[in-house]
Amino acid sequence: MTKAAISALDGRFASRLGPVRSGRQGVSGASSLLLLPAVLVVCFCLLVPLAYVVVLSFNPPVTGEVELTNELTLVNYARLFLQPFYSAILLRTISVSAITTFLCVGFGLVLALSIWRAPPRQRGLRVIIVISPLLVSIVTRTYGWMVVLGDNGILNTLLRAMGLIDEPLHMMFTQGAVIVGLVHVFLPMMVLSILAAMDKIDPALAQAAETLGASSFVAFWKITFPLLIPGLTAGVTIVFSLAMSSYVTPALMGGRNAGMLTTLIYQQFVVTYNWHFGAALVVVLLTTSLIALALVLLESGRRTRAWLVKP
Amino acid sequence: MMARLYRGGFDALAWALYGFMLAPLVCVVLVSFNADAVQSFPPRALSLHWYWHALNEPSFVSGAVTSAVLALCATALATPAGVAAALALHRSRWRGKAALELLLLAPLVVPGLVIGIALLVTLAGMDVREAPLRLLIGHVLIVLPYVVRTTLASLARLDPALTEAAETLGANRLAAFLQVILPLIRPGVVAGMLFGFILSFDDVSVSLFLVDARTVTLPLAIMSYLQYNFDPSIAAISSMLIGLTILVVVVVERRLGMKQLFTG
Amino acid sequence: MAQVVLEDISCRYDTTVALDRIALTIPSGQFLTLLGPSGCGKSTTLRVIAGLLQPSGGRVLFEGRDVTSVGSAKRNIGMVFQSLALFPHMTAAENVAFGLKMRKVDVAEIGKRVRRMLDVVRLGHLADRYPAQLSGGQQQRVALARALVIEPSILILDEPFAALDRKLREAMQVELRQITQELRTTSLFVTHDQEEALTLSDLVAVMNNGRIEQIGSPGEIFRRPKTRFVADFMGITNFLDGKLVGASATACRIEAAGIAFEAAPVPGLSLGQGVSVAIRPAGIKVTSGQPPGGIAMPGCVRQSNYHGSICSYVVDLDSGPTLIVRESNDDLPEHASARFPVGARVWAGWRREAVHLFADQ
Ligand SMILES: Nc1ncnc2c1ncn2[C@@H]1O[C@H](COP(=O)(O)OP(=O)(O)O)[C@@H](O)[C@H]1O
Ligand SMILES: [Mg+2]
Repeated sequence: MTKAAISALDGRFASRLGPVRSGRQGVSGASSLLLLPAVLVVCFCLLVPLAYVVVLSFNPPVTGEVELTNELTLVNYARLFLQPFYSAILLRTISVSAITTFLCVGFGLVLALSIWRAPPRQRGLRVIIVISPLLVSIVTRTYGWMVVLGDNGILNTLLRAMGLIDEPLHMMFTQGAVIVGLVHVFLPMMVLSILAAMDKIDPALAQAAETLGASSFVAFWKITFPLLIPGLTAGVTIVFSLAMSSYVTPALMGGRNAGMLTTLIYQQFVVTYNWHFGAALVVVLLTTSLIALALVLLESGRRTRAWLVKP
Repeated sequence: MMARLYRGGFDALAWALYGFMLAPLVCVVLVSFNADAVQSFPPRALSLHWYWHALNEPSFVSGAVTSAVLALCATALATPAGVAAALALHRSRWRGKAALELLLLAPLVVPGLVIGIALLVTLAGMDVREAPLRLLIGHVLIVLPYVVRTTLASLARLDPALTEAAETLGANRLAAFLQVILPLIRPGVVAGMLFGFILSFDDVSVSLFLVDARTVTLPLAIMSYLQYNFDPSIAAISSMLIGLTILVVVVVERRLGMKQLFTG
Repeated sequence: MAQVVLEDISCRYDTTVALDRIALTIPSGQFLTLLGPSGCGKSTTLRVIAGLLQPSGGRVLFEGRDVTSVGSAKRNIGMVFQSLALFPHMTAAENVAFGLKMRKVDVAEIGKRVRRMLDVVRLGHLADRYPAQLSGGQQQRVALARALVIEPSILILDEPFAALDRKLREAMQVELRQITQELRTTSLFVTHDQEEALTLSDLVAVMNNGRIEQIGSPGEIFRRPKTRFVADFMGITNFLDGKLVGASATACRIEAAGIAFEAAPVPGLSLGQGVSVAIRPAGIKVTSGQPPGGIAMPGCVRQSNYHGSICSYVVDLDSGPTLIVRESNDDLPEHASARFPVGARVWAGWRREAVHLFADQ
């Protein structure tokens, strides 16, 4: 190459890349070396396995067989959608997750507001109370609810002692118990998402609204709430997809008739060894969460597009 | 008047919810001191009997060792990888940056159950069936995104001129990182490590499919005990875990809280 | 203490041209200030000299040695950053010691030099404080000490006083000037504040849009601006559109705002060419009657403002243009706040020296 050509090339690269930090000529090389371990881990331990599951779900079911074949089929999905037993479980999973999410939104708003409005010295304590369940194993939390809601549990004992009931209420091993457990598990995440959005709101906004004559209730609904939509969106998507995929709570607190998709999946992989059908269930679980996520994002985008400035 | 009512109702609901958040944890601790085998409330007599019982339950002891070793190894592997990746991400200005960040945080978005199943199936397909190895891979995935996230957050809070200042003063890149950047992001890195450690130690959903009869983590040991027994030794072991977590959180908050004085 | 030369430095960020063939010489031991509006490329120039940014063309010479591809760590630079960039986890003394540690100076020597430098900036008693425990001015002095203790070839300061209040800023300016003169450090200072530039510098370089418009002593820059931009930046706010109608060796004749008048000769202008006539606000005198001799035009006072030691008037000339006038209040009667009320008929006159001519682009 001629010298002129080289310098022309140089110029072109310089204009495209901008100035190179001096002493950092190897910046891209060094950076990719630093990134390599983490990226390899995520690719080979997460993305590849996920792809494997997806392909497996389209292979014909052979008990005990886990290697992929070229033969593609929809039988696993057909079984799920065409047998009422399975589709009922899918519907129940969706509805339980939706109810959980709905309750988390309502309760989460109350808790987040109560933290936000608390005097600064109390705020830390309130946050710790709300997020404390996050730091405790889900098994412990679920066991805690079994202690509270069991036939001989604390709640029944209290109610009986107060003479409100004679026979213990059967609260454990019901759909309701599952929902109570799930709300308890996911409420902290909802509150954290809402609080993150609240931190960005200028407290003077609601005050401004009140000086303009709005009651504090109206000020909340007209001013604060719309500004919370991004935080609620984050919370709703997290809670819904985590609720869909929660296993411990439905397994321990749900009865025979409260099975969810995850307990069904567990059976396929650990009890009946029908991994292909199990893989299809996993794919459906993920897709349902993704669709819900897309719907929520679209709706929230529609409501906030006009004013939300992307960073 | 309406405002008063509204305010009062709101406060009552909020306090009920705080109670709701604490109820199961408090009840677990209360029950753990109960002397009776059957649950009774309020406890008729107090004793540490169930703590003794829990500490002598072989599946709890071996589970605790497994979980601790697993969480330690996973954190030890994930931390350097996560910190290095966060550094590179923070520094780079090219277009793929956002996508890479998303990729590294992806394990947070994919449900643990799905991660576990995907690893189980893929490794079985490759004829890898050693539970310790499978578990380690799964738990590295649990810890990694937290380290990446908290490290990125601490890097973002740094004045970008700090590295340049160190450089103009004669520091090479390694010296600038070790003497200026690392001390300043250490609280964030440690917070990510600890959070990752706790989540790895408490994990059920990833491990559920990766354990085998010989290698069982503590939460899963408790869970299978729970399916056949319902005595307060579960409450005792749970209370110990709660105590341990509180201890870690308080110690860290104290130690790091001091340091954060200088980084704020 | 070295002479620093920039030869034809160009610099681009993606598509924006930040520096367009900059040539600049900072003589050894002199204090040069880069002055220009925000975004004109001052920080970029500094970063190129400091080795934090690789120029896309041109060379950087320290004492005649080409350092263009030498890393920042090896250039022996003392830099005070806009954000100061003090290391928050190190005490003042540790901050100052950092550069010496990197140079592997022995410990006893480091201790001695750090103490001496902290005394120079009058912070000896606060050596063990962390930056967060120091006031803004004290932090500034730590940053200065940290940059100076390594005996840099050149001291570089990027708008270091921008965040300080006026009083502190003026105090710091005096101190900086004193210290750099004492140590005879070659210094490059950046500011967008013309007063600061004129106060501090041996030389001022005015930048605009990635180019250097004019370099000279503060007096030269202030009295003889070479371009309309420099004149504007130096606070000459009156510009009249005019035409060159006559020229000789000692004077040139201009027609503007309906009258013809004389100004100092400007080489390179041709007859009939359009010119901008710049008149310094402090060079205009407002009188109630037509002044004898000189140049003067009638008009009407639209605004009259009191600023303490000076007064300013906005005068609408009968011929159309508006002039801003500033005059000292020294001979103002005790209780009056202006010599002329709004609406007064006045004459605005100026001496030949107050006029600058610039060829229209
Ligand atoms: N990192 C960057 N990326 C892209 N453009 C930049 C960057 N830094 C500065 N610029 C642009 O380069 C020009 C000069 O910037 P700068 O030297 O910082 O100006 P100054 O310090 O005089 O205010 C500006 O137009 C600015 O927008
Ligand atoms: Mg700048």
